[in-house]
Formats: sequence, structure tokens, C-alpha cells
Amino acid sequence: MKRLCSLLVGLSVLLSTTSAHALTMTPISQHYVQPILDRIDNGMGNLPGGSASNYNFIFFDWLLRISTAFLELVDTDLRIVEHQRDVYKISPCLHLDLLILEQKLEDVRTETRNAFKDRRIYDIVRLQSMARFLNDRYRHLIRGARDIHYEDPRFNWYYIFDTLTWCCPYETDPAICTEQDRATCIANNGLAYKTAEDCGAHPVCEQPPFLPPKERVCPFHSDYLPPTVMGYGCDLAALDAVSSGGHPPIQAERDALAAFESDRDAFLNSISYIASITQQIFAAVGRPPPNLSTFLAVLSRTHRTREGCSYTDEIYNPPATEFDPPPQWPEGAAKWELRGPFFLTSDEIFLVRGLYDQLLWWGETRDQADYLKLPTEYPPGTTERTDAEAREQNMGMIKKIFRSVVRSYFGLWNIEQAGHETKPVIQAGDTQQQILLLTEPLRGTMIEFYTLASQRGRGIRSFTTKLGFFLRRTCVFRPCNKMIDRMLKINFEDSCFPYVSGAYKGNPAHHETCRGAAGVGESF
Amino acid sequence: MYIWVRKDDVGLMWHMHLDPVLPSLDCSGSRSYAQPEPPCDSATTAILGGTYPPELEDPEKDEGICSHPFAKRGYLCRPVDSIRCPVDPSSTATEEDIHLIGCKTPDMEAPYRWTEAGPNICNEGGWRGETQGLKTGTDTPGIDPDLEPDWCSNCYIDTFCGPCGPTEGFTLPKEIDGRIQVCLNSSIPELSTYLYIHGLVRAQQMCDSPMGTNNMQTEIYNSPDGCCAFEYQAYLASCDAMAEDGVLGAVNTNTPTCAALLTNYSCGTPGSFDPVCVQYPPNFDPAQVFIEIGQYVQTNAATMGLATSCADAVSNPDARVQKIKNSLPQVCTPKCETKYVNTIGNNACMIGQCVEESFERHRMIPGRMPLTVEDEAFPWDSDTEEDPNWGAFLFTPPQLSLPLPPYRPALLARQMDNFLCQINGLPTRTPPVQCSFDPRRRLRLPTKEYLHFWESLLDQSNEQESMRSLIEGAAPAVGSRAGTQVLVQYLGPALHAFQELIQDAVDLLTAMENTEFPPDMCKRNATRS
Repeated sequence: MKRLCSLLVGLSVLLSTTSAHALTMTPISQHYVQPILDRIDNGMGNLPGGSASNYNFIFFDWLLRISTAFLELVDTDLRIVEHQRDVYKISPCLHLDLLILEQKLEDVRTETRNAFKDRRIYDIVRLQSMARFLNDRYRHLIRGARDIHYEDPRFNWYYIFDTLTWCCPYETDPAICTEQDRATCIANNGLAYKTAEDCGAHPVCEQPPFLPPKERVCPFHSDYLPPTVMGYGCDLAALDAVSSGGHPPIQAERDALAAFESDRDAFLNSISYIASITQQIFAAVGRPPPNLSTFLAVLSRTHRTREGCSYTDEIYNPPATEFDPPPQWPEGAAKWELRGPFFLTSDEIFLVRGLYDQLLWWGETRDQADYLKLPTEYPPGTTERTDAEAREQNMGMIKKIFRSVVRSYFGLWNIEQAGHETKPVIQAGDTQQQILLLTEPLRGTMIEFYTLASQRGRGIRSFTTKLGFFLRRTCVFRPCNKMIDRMLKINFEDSCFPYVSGAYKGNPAHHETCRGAAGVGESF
Repeated sequence: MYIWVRKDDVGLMWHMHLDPVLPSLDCSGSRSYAQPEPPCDSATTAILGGTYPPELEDPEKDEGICSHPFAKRGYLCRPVDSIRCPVDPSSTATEEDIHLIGCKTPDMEAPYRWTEAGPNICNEGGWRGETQGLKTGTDTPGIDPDLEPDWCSNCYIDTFCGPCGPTEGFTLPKEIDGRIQVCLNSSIPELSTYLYIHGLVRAQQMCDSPMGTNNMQTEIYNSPDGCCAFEYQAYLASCDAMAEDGVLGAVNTNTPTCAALLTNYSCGTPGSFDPVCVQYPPNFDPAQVFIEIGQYVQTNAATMGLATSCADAVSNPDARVQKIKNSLPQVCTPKCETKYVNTIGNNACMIGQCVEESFERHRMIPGRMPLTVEDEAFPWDSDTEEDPNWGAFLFTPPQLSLPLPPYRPALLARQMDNFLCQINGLPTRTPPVQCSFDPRRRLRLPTKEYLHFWESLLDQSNEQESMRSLIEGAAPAVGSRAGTQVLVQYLGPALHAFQELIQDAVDLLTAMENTEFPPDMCKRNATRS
């Protein structure tokens, strides 16, 4: 009874955010979530069916099994720690895709219940695999939705519910692994594996001699991000593209956003005259016109999208191999909102957490030392890889186990070390960086002022030179020429302009340096 | 100019140029000065009237000032076209004939003249009758602090008798108010008149210099050439007076030689007559002549009508002294009167000085009296460059009213408590330690496989460990960020105001840099061409 209660409680917790609405919407992410749904739909459509005669013998603890299958999904790390962290920062677009995955999980759960009821033993196994697959993708989507460099390494594995598999023709020689239909493979007494590497690891089977580069799958989608002026993010265009399904919260979010944008546009249009006034003021003051290219740019904003770890917006073009350079962050896209939904001050706790997570990720992906690296960690075709492969062949099992332990230790150590770096990174660099950013406009102005006040061909000295030559051409009164000569001598001497550079500081006789260098006397 | 005639009247008519017409500054940079044809090509080489010549470049090394377009037209740079030197062998002229021009090696070469400000013509010596001068006070043998010059004078003389140090007399640099002090050594009273003339000429040389500068004294007079140039002219006037009085004839010398020996005496080694400025004629004993001049004057001063005391020389100045003092004021200043004996020379001095003063000080193009407010005084006033308003409008730096930014430690602490509970998936609890690790979360939901169960249980503690590490690392960092935000909120507006202030200075300096000086002098529609 306790287990039954636990199951009901667990499932109610799991489904609390799913809501009772059946989602008919297409997901935002067509490159990641939609293929997941397609694979699940395909798997559920191809369930073998059929019940086992010894079902009661095998599934005597059926309640424990079915509860375990879904209690595993009540994963505090994923559902609470990972998901809850973002829950008040999550965009409606990401929320929608997560809901769709949860909806699909609910479909699997329902089907599982039916399978148990109908004693379809083979279906139960496949449905369990689907649930884990969905849960795993859910985790990767949570973690990688906003990170263009985050990759789902197991997305392309062939699971038990997939039609295809990596098949080892066990009874043929040589038994070269091939990608083929799972049912055919098993009917021919072949062995089914998730990956070609797994298949090749079997003592009898061999990897195919040529493997095309694995398609790199990243859950990132720029529509999951907060909207920015540059066009990226979960804006009205992104929501309009998918909201036809009629999920009330998403629809409400969309309607509220539309109302907000309408009011915003009306306000911005009402202040559009500021641009011309600003330019007139700058012209009157004599300053170069300000850069107003971004002023009201949001009114002509065009929605832009970057999918996965693609290099470009237009087509899905991810790095071919893991050794290719990673894609750049889309310029103008924002990973997080700076502020929270309920306050205007910057959300320091969340931002620090963001840095902490980023550092952890860098620690996790940090390279091992050369003597600990696997051959696959070197780019193909390089001498380093060849050497590593030769080294690998000569390495004994004990040594490999020892290396694995050391790698694991250093891997954990890297992560821990990266976490410890959060505090010093912020305390040692962040304050200075913020002050630096704050003073950046001032720095440019000061450099300009320095240039105009000190350099020979600019500003005050340029004016003095031109005035001197003008007077020299005009002057008939001869002491005037004498004064002009003196003025120009001083004007052309850099050491006579120490005021901005501070060269005079601590040197009470600097005027004598100037006088000597300019070759002028104390007076006329 | 036209002459118009009616039945009852005759008159003159002329065109008034709206544009100022100035003479051409230069014709060609390459052809001969005397070449009349072809006419100047205004499109290529001529610099038309009213146009500034290009900016003068400094002459190349060893090229000298004759490379300058105007200077090379000058006397010193002009090649000598023809001169009868040496004497034409076919000439039948004898020594007794009158030679209008010829070549003769001078006995001695006088120092060149070195003038500074003011007219060059008739600048040294006197030619005028008494008109303007002192506004108040009288120059007495003592120091007279009450003297004040009038509108027409660039300087005034305050003479005093007294010990002048080791010298016979000196002239001090011009002071800010125009005072030039001349000291006469009262221990040699018979020479006072000649010393006075010398001192006054020295004062004349400085009279038109700018007020408050001692350029002439420090940079010109203190150089060997400058001393020679100034002193020679001054002694020339003194010696000329001596020659008039018969002194030089009595000691059998002439004015240039007298001026030479006195100049050498003043500018050379003290007490010597070394020819530092002027070479002497052959077989000339300057020391002997110097003594003879002194002795003669001291012996015959009374009979020559010279003052016999310094005070007498100042109070009852010699006519030549008075003439020099009369000649100190300017001649062409409005409201100033110039009086002189109507001679050709004096008229030439008057015209020459007036022209020079005009070129140096006056506005050459006359304006007109405006009849109404904002009426233009010159025809080109309405065509002047549009006022760019530089410096007229500036951004005002925002007023600094900086309250201390909000610092809410309690709120921050509560957020951290929330954070602690949130990362453990719990609502806010007090005390927040209640949000820490709770193993019942997994124990209450056991799974079938024990391995998975234990893994999950261990993962829970790992999650807690991870969160603990996060809290440990994040709390001080969050505090640091919050503190920085307080500083940033305070510093930001202040820096912005400061930046605006500096930017205003940049605007002004940029405006100065962008100032374009006109290439044309007072050209009508200059800015619209």
C-alpha cells in the first residue's frame, strides 16, 4: 500500500507542472525536441506487442517495477536542482518545449500502465527505455538550452525502441558492425548495440573501417533566450510560430507580450522626434552627431534564430567533429536576463550562480594531461593521435585501470577547482572590471582631451600654430614677429606641454626643461 | 576719377570701391625684379592684392632669408646690375673731377642700424617743435615719480643727475608705464649735454617698443652686434653735436670716427678702445682723441654755450636736446598735433613717420559711421563667416545630487536564505538550516533495484555537497558584487558628470582646432566663393 501511495505521490509531483491540457503544439526546437518526439512516436507505433505466458513469474513484483520506472524520474537533481534553478528565469519558449517533453513522458507512462495491464512484457521494456530516454533528453535540454557549446552526446544512440541499431553479425566472419534494422538483425542472430564503438568493443565484432563524422547535436536554441534588440530570443514571432495549439498559459504569455509590445511601440513612436532634436543639439554644440543607429531599432526588429551549435543562423551548420572550432555566441543574444521578474536591481545571486555553473562546465571539459589522454582525444590524422594509439596498444590492463582512476580523480578535481574559483574570480576581477566598464566612456573622452590639449598637430597647439602663421603673414609691427617666433618655438616643443601627461609632477624645474628645449629666454 | 561740368558748376566724382584694394604683394617668385614684361600672370605666379602669400617656410640651410619671396626683392638680396667699379680704364676723369658715383673702399665700416618697433625714418635725433609729451609734471634733475605721458606718447623721459655707477651715464629699459630713466653723471658736468643727447637717442630707440618688455635690452643690446648698432647711432648724434660745436674740428677728427671710438669704448672691454664695433682709420689713436675731446669740452664748455652742470643741462636743455625730446611722441595719432619747421627734410620725416606708423598700427581700410544700431561699419561685415557658435552652447554636466545608493543587507541575507532553500527544492524556512540535506526524500521513495537506490541516495548527498560548495563560493562573491553595485551606482553618475565636463573642454578645443584662418585679406564674399 505504501508503495502504491508513493507511486501516486511521485506521479502527481511529476505531473504537477504538466497540467491537464493535451499539447498539440509543435515544439520550438525543430532540431532537437521534434526529433525526440518523432523517435518516441515511432517507437510507440512499432511496439511489438504480445504477452508472455510466464508474465506472473517474471513480473511478480509488477507494482515495484512500474513504480521504480517512474520513481527514477522523480529525480531531485533534475526536477528540483536543475529545473528549479531556472524556473523564474525560464522563457515561455523553453517552458513550452519542456512541457511538451513532459507531456510525452506522460503518454509513455499511460502506455506503460496499459502494457502492464495487458501483460505486454516486451512493450514494457521498450517503454521503460523511452521514459529514460525522454528523461535524459529533458536533462540535457535543461542544462544545454542556453549554452551553444553544450552537446548531447547520447542523442544519436540507438535505443531498444528505435527501429535501427548497430548490428554485429555474430555468426559471420568477419563480423563487421553495420547500421541496420533491429528486427532483421535479431532475426539473423545478430547482436544489437547502441553505438558502433560499443559494437566494435565486442571481442568478435569489428567496427566498420570508415565511420562518417557523428552529427553533433546541441539542445541550444536562441528562441529559448530572453528577447533582445538584435532579434534573438523568445519574442512574439517565436511564440506566434507555435502557439496555435492553444495552451492557455502560453497563449496568455503571448497575449501579454503582444499588449506590452503594442504599448511600447506606441510610446517609442511618440518619442521618435527625440532623434532629430538630439542631432540638432549636437550640431549646435559642435559635436559630431551621436550614433543613433540603435535608437528605436526595436521598432524595425527582425526575429532571428540560431539552432543548436550551428555556426550560422541561416542553415544548421554545426562543427563536423569535436576538434573543429566551437561556434561563436550569436552576437546580440543574451544568455540570461540581468534582472529578475520582480525587481529592477540586478540579480546578483543568479548571476553568480551562472558564473559558477559556467566555471563548472569549463572544469568538466578541461583537457587531461597528455600522459592521461585517450587516443580519441587527439584530432584524427595527427602524429599525436598515432603515438597515443601506439601507446594504447602497449598499455597493460592494470595500467589502463590505473589511468582511468587517475583521470576520474583529476576530472573531479578540475570540477571542484573550477567551483572554488568562483569567489576569487569575482572578488579579484569583477569589481575592477565593472569600474573599468564604468570608466570606459570617460577614458575615451580623456584620451581625446589629452590629444587635443597636448599633441602638436591637434587642438590648442594646432590652433596656435595656425594663428602664428596667420599673424606672421599679417604682422608688420616687428616685436610682434619676435613674440610669434617665441610662441611658435614653445608651441612646437612637446616638453612645454606637460600638463595632461603629468610630466611636470615632482619636477619643480620642468619649466627650465621646456625653456632649454625650446631655445627661448625668460622674457622678450 | 572724373571731372564733371555743368553750366554753373564743376566738380569731381570718383568710384568708391566696396572691396578694399591693396597693392599687389608680389608679382613673380622667379623673374627679375626690374622685368616689366610680360605682365604678371595672375593665374600662376602673381599674388594678387588682397591675398595673403603662402605660409612662409623656414629657409633651407645656407640659403638664408633671400629665399623668401619678399626678402629676395630687398636691397640686400638684389644683385648689383652695373656699377662703375673698378674705374673704367677709358675714363678721362681725374681726381679733381666731381664723381657722381664710384667705388671707394671706406675708411671704416659703420655698424648696421638695428631698429625694433616704430618708425625708422628720422627716429633718432630731433626734428620737431614742442607739442605733446608730458601730461603732468616736469622733468627735473631728480627722479620725478609724478610724470605722466599724454595720449600721443609711447614713452616719456625721466632724467636724473647722480652717480651712474662706473659709467658716464646710462639709459634704463622702458618701464610698463612708458617711463625711460636717463642717468647723467654729475661728476663730469661739462659733458652733460652730449651725454644727454646720447641718452635720449637711446631712449628713442626703445620708445616704441611694447610696454613692459625689455626685449631690446636683454636680447638685442646685450649681444655684441646689438650694442654696436644701438650705441653707434646714439654716439653719432652726440658727435654730430660736438662737430657742430667745433669740438671735433679742434681735435682734428670727424663725426664717424668720433662715434666709432665712443661706440668701441662702450661696447668693448671696459677702459679699452678695442675696435669691437668699428675699425679705425689707419694711424688713428682713439685713446688720445678721447682724452683730447674730453679736455677740450671741459675747457671750453662755457664759451661754447654748453651747460656747465648736470642740473643746468636738464633744467635748461640745449635746443638739440629739446628737439629730441620733442620728437618722442607719435606723429599720426588722432588728436595729436605735430609742429615742425617747414623744411623739405622735416616734411619728409613727417610723411615717412606717419606712413610707417600707419602700417604698424593703424587700420588701413577706413570704415564708416553706422547710422543705426547694428548697421555695418564696413561693406563686408554682412559677408563675414557665419558664426559657428563655438563655445556658445555647451552641454551642462548633470547636477550631482547623489544620495547614497540603497544598501539592503537584510534583503540580501533573506535572498541568500531563499537561495539555500531553493537549491534544495524547498520553500523558505526559518532557520534556513532546515533546508539542508534531508535523506527522507529518497528513503520515502525507494526503487526496486537496490543499486540504483543507493546510487540515488549517495547522489543526494553529493548534490548537497555540491550546493554547499556553491553556497561557500557564492556567498562572498554575491556580497562582493552587491558591494560593487553600491559603488557603481554612486560612481556612475559622478563619472558621467565629470565626463561631460571634460567633453565640454574637448568641444572647445576641437572648435579651436577647426578654426580656419582666411587665406584672403578682407575679400568680399570670401566665405561664399
